[in-house]
Formats: sequence, C-alpha cells, structure tokens
Amino acid sequence: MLNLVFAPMAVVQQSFPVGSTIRVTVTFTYTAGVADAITLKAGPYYYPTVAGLQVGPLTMVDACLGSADINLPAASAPTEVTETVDFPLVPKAQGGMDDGTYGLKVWVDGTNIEAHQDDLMAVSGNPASTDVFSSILPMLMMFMMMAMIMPMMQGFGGQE
Amino acid sequence: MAMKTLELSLGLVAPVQYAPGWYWDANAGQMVYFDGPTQRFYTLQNGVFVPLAQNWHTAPKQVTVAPGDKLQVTLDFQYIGPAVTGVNAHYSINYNALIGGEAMSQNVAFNIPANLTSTPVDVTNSYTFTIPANAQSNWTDIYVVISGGTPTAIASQEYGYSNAIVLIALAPTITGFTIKDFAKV
Repeated sequence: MLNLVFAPMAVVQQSFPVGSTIRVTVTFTYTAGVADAITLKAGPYYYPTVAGLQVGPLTMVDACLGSADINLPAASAPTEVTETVDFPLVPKAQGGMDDGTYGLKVWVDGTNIEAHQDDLMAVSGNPASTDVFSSILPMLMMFMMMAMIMPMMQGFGGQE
Repeated sequence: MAMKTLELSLGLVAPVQYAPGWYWDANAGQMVYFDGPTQRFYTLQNGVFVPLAQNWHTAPKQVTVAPGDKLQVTLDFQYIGPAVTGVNAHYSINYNALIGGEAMSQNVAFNIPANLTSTPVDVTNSYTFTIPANAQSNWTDIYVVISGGTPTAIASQEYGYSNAIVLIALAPTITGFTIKDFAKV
C-alpha cells in the first residue's frame, strides 16, 4: 500500500545584508478562557565554536532581538492564527553580528513554546576590519614569544 | 455557567460474597471472572487476566468545560446482592492517565438497595465538580472508584475515561507553533 503524507515544508536558508530588518511569520493554534495577550520574540542564534567544534549551547544574538505584542481573544475552540514579528540584523560595528550563517528562533516570552531552525540566515556585508592592531596582533605575538624563548636558549647554551 | 455531564458505567458490581467464577457482564458485553482471593473482576485478554479496574477507556464523548463551569460525573453499575450502606465513591479529574495524577477529587457516600433476584438492577450515583480558576488544559481524564460499605463491603471497582474533557484554561494554551516564513522588509 502506498502511504502519502503531506507535511509543511521547512523554511529554507536565505541570504541577507547586515542592517536588514527581517519579518518572521509564525502560525499556531490556541484556546483561551478569557482574552489575553502574549509577547512573541524572535532573533538570530548561533552555536559557539572553537576550531570548528561546537563548545556552547544555542546562543541568541541579543542585539538583534525583536518582539511583538499579540492580543488573543477568548476562544473555546482551537483557533489557528498567523502573526509576525520583526527583528534587525544589527552590524558588528554597532555591537551586533559578524558575517556568517545563523539560525532563527521565535518564541512566546515567558513560556517554553518556541520554534527554531539552524542555519537559516546567511548574513554578509559587514565592512572589512580597519583595525590595524587586530591585523598585526598574530605577528606581534610571535615576536613576543621569540623574545621570551631566545634568552632561555642562550642560557642552555652557556652551561655547556 | 454551563452544566456539562459525563457518564461512566462500572458494569457488573458484586458484594464480596460473590462466588468465584465466570459471569456474563451484559453491560460490557463480555465474560468476566470474579477472583475470590483478590475479590475483583478480571477479563481474559490474550491469555492474561487483566483487572477490570486497570483499564482506562476511550471516552464515548468529549466535554468542553472552562473555569466556572460545572461538570456532573455520573457512575452507573449493575448490581445483585444485599443492601449495602456507606459505599464510598471517589470521583476525580485527572491529568495524564498513564501516571494517574489527580487534579481534583471528591469522596461521596451512597447506599445500594438490596436486589436479591437473579436479574441485575441499575444503580447510579453522581457528583458535580465546579471547574476552578486554576484549571489546566491537561486536565483531560475522569476516574471513579467505588468500594467499601456495610455490612458487606463492595470490592473496589474502578473505571476511567481518558481524553474525556477538553478544558479551556483561562491562560492561553498554544499548540502547533511553527515558523511559516521569513523575509526582508
């Protein structure tokens, strides 16, 4: 027997220039005994890595979070709604995000209700670094290490 | 506020002096075995005797209630035996039938009149819950246990309906939360 299952397609990765505002659309079903309000929050996230290995949990880019207050009328029967929430892709120079690939997370504030998907946003367009100190830092460190090691080597040679 | 009702049928109930052996439970439409040492009825399922009490049943209907509503739970069983006074009926609204968490409950004492004929008679009892403001949407199950009484105690009889209640909690209950789309604006 052939079984066909129709399921919603997962959203796919898109590319955005840093500085853009992103609008996320979410759907959910709810019931509520009385009218109430919820706050939707959304933003990009990443997993901290060292040398390509994940070393930390899902970490939100705090500078890029957005929120939206949503009013929910009383509903005794399950009611499907579609809502949106905007968030900015704040540039690195303003305390935001580096170029790279980020996940997208949306949640209802104060609850454990959330949806997220890894690697949804390819962000680029941060201006190239003009920080001279950063560019020469590796070379500077190598000179400093040599300056420490050389006297030790000479010391060993003197004992012979 | 609205009054909603749920009915539970306990099937054939017997006092403790019921003779061990097989009986026809006309209400459930099946043979049941009364065990003398445990004083309980069992059904034979795939070669295993399963106490009737341990069966959760699919509710014949779902009742939607909200805080402030009244939910009347009525139990019904068929009886043959002497009069019994002070039988305890324990009514409960439960969450998660598998674990058996009890959200709220009430004990009600009632009497069973004598039926010394060979034909079972229906006995009913009921209790009305008032759904409190702090009710949660996972309060979905109802359960009833009857037991005790004098001079001849009724062996414990239990019956539960899972997913019998759709409870509309005051606070929003959200399901199916998904990202549908995202785009630059």
